[in-house]
Formats: sequence, structure tokens, C-alpha cells
Amino acid sequence: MTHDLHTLIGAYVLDAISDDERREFEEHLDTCDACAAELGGLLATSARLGASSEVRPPEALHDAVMAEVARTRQLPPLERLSPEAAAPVPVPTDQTVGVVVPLARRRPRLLLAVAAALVVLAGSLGGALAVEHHHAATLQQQFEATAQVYAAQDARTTTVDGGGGTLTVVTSASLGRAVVIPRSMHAEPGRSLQLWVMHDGTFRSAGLMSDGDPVLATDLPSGAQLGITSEPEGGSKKPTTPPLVTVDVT
Amino acid sequence: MDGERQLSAVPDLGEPTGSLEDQLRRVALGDEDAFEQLYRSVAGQVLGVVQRVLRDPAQSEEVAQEVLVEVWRTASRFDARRGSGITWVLTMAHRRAVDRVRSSQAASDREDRVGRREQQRPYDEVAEQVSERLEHEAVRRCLGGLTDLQRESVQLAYYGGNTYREVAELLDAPLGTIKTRLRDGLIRLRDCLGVAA
Repeated sequence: MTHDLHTLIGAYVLDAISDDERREFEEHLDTCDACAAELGGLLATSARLGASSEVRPPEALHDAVMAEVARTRQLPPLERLSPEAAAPVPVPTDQTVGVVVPLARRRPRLLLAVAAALVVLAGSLGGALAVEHHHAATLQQQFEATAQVYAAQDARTTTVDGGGGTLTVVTSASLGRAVVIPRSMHAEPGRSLQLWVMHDGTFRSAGLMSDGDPVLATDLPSGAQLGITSEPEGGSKKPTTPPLVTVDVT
Repeated sequence: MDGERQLSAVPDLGEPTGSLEDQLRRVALGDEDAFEQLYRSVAGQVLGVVQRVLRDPAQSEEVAQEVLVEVWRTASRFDARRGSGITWVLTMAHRRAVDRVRSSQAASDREDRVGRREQQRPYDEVAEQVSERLEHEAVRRCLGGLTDLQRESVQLAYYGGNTYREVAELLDAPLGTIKTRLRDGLIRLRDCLGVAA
């Protein structure tokens, strides 16, 4: 049976199987290292079959796509560390909850960190149900990157009111990262809340926010601020309204 | 120290490199200009894949549009460590086209599509620039290097949008044989095209 399933990889890659068989095969993929190793090359091969069929698209397609893109909200970004960026700070997840901290004054922060990590974990798990299994690794990375912030020696928690709710920000200056959790902050209908990294008069989007979902902001320069603005649904390239709330992060 | 190391990672966001992977990274940040560039690099291939499977030009454009907007919507989920940008985009395009074929909406015109092996091409093939012609030729040559059963199975599955069960029926061959031919046909194509395993 296992051999049978492995053979199905060709039909899977070519989308030549039923939905039920696809699900079965994807479950099998999780336990079949040989399949996983073969999958990348075969997917790239089938894409070559497709690439060789290139045609000249009509201009109407361009206009229709660009118009729809302008009114389509993007999925919130997951943390996307490059392998190099992920490598330098290998903090075992255990450290977040298991480290022995004798100093009483560290306790509250540790408890907060544990609680916050659980919030993040719950968020990640909720999201994991909605995405295909092969995103699990990305989620895991996001979780680890977030846990690194909580576990950092210089982790600092700030809570500010604004935008109709509160914003909790856990920052590690040494990592240049912050975890931002909005509470009871809701965008108006047809609008999105967007998080920005603001520094020296420049703005960089750190993604769209939805209430209760932690967002990880990375590559924070010294002296940066985080700010949230209300933007047209799907977000903007640059802030178009004054910030509802700002926080100094480093 | 740590702070400096992090700072050095900042330019990652704005590097003006033109690979599809870089475009996808910028699209994930909501950059519509980057999406415009991405559109110019992939729209012809997306429409090509969809139209090979669906054949109907109006339906193909509709699905190609869905796919391209989906690329915009889900760009943050692209992971360059799992494969190239073009593989990600065209895998999505083929899947969508096949989903459309199999949806109940398309079921009525299924019957007469299944049997036909040669495909009409309502759009101009672009294969006029040298690189595109070379790619087209490479795929054709490598398909030619397969056994007849491998080639027919792969073409009926990928270009025809048929399931392996339908392929088995069309070619009057046992299911197990078709499953195996699809896999070893792809492996032979992979090696012939020089795709990294």
C-alpha cells in the first residue's frame, strides 16, 4: 500500500487524481521522506511542461487583473525568515517556558512571556487549519521567531491605548524585532488596519492587522517607532491617514 | 552588536533585483508596481497553462485572472526554499484549471473534451523570442524521448486535465501501469530537462 501511494506521486504532481486521493497522498507525504525528496523536482518538471505553453495574453486580461488586485486584500504575511536570518539565534523553544529564573523580579515578565507565547501558539494553530500542510514549517518558524523575542534577555512589554482598543508590544532591541498584538481594535467596514515601521521619516509596511492576532515586525532599526493606520481595505503602499497609535520600540 | 547584525539585514526589502522570487517578496509587502512586473513575467505562461487544459478562450481568461489575483493575495505564503517562483505560480495555475474542468459547471462539456488529444490553440504561441523557442523545443525534444505510453499518459494528464483513471481508460491500460508511467515519465523528463532532483 505504501509503495502504491508513493507511485501516485506522478499523478499527484500532474493534478491527475481525485480530491480524496490528493488528501490521502498529502497525509502520506508527511511520513514519506522519499516522496518529499522527489516532490520538488517533479513539480518543477511539470511546471516546465506548462511554461513551454506560453501564449500572448490579451491586454484586457492585464486590465482586469490589475483592477481586481487594487481591490483585493492580501493574506496577512507570515513571518518569512531567510535561512541565514533564522540561523544566528537558535533559541530552543523549551527556553521560553522551561528556563530556570531564580530572580523574583524576572517572574512577571516570564509569566507574561509564557501567556503571550500561548496566545501566539493558539493563533498559529488556528491558522494552520486553514493552510495546506506544507505551510506548517513556515508557521513553526514564525512561532520560533516569535518565541525568540519573548525569550530575549532584553524583552520589554509595552501596552498603549488607541484606535478604540489596546496594543501590546513585546520588543527585543537586540533582535531588532517586536511582536505586536492588537486587542479590541477593529477596522471600519471597507478599511484595514495596517502596521508600519517608522524610522527617520520613512515608512515600511509590516502587514495588516486583525484583532487578537500577533504580528511580528522584523529588522527594526534603532530609534524606530511602530504605528497603526486605517487604510483602504487590503492596505496601502504608504500610510494615507495619521496613525491611530504609535509606540517607540527601540 | 546584535543590533548591527540585524540592521545589515534591512536592505533585503528594497534590493532592486529582478528575479521572480524577489518580485514575489515585494508583492507580499503590498507593492503593486512589483506585481505589475510579475504580471509581465508570468501572465503569458499562466494563460498558456490554463488554456492548454480548458481550451475555451473566455473560460481560460477567467481562470487565468483568478490565478493571477490569487498570486497577489497569497504572495506572503510563497517560500523560496520549497521551489522556484515560476513552479509555485504554474502549479497553482494548473491546479485551478483542472479544478475548473472537474467542477460540475464544466461537467457538461466534459464528454467531448476527454477523447480529444490534439489541442486547438486559440491564442498565438509566443514562441518567437529565442529563449522561449528554446524552452519549447527542449520540452518537445524531451517528450519525444519518452516511451509512447509515458508520453501519452503525461500529456493526457497534464495538458488534457484527465485523472489517471481517465487516462487508463483512454489508453486502455491497467491503472497501476498508468500510475507508474506517469511517475517514471516525469522522472525521465526531469533528467532530460536538467531539473534538479
